[in-house]
Amino acid sequence: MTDGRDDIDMLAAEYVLGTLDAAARTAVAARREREPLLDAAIRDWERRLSPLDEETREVEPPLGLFGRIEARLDAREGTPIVTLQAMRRLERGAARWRRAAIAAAALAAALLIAIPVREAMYAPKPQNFVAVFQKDDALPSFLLTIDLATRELTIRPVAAERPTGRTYQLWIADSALGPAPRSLGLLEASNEPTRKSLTDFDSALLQRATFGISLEPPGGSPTGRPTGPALHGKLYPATP
Amino acid sequence: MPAPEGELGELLARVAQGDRAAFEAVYRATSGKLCGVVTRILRRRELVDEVLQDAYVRIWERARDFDRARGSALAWMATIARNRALDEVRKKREASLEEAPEAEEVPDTQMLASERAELSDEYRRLEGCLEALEAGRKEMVRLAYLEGWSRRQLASRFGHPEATINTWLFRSLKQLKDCLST
Repeated sequence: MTDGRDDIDMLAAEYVLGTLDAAARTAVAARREREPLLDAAIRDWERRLSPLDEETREVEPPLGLFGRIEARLDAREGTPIVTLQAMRRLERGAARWRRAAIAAAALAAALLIAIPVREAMYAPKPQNFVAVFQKDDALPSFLLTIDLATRELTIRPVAAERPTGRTYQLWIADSALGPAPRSLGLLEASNEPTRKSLTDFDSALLQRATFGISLEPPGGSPTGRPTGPALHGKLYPATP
Repeated sequence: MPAPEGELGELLARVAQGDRAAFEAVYRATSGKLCGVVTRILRRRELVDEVLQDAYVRIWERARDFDRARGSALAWMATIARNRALDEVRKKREASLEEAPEAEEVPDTQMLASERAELSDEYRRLEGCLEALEAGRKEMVRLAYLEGWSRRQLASRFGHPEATINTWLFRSLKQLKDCLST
């Protein structure tokens, strides 16, 4: 056998048809990365045979699959999920964060969202940690604060909109808690702070854990894992 | 519902820039189809989840390689998912020495008239070329491509040695190529 174009073309054909054995498939997949001719031949065969996929009917994907895919992307990027633009800004200094929080609170107040502005503006104690959750580069959707002395968490929606018939659910994730996030319960009111006691977790864990908020059906995730679109954040000290 | 092809191409261009919202929109528009493609090959629900995860992670990583000039976005994604499913099924079936799936497990591929109406010209052309193959060869090609059957499974199903099946597939593919290029 020569390694001529015909051989390359038929190898590509068999690869696309799917009849090569596991070892040969792996070898072809590796070769196509460095052999443009083989890669082009594979693409041509994909173009020839892929119309067959048109007759394959849609199948409902497994529940919660997208959340698992997102978690893979996050792990790959080595960041705690949507590492929000604002989180990076936060890392540069808590002073800037406080200005942002005041601005957000002021804006929320201007929008007549019922947030006690005085409470939002009070100077945080050293034991306080804060995380901001936001979508895109917009205003924070939620502000989460934890008082490590009492291990009480307060989560305050700012500009979060809740689609009708859905509810927000709060999660905590950390390697010490196993691979899956653990539910911290639902955020009942859409425009009032929700408080949760976190005495089940020690403060070291709380400081390194990732917190997530996902949009779920009424009553919360039916699977015990986040199923809807999620926002995530890590805690940062609220004082320099 | 599949998104219109142009829209999917736009979304993939945004995914290539690292846009997670666009990625979610791509997922919503394509996961039903991709799940159909891999389920048909894998048959086992517990493998589907892992394979689709891998496929979408790869779609995220490779979005910048997608070239609209070279074909449909959905076909590009289906190919990624299908390749991953085939890798899995080859490994698994070789390990378990599983023989041809029972005939009754082969899903009903008869399309409804309304579904046939939506088939592309490319599909009809390929179908015409498959019909022109010798008796039984169309089914072989379809079982290999759509259901992920190995040469060994085809040999067992059609009652011929693997080498013979190989020769037939080879010839069928060459014929298909000639037929499609005319």
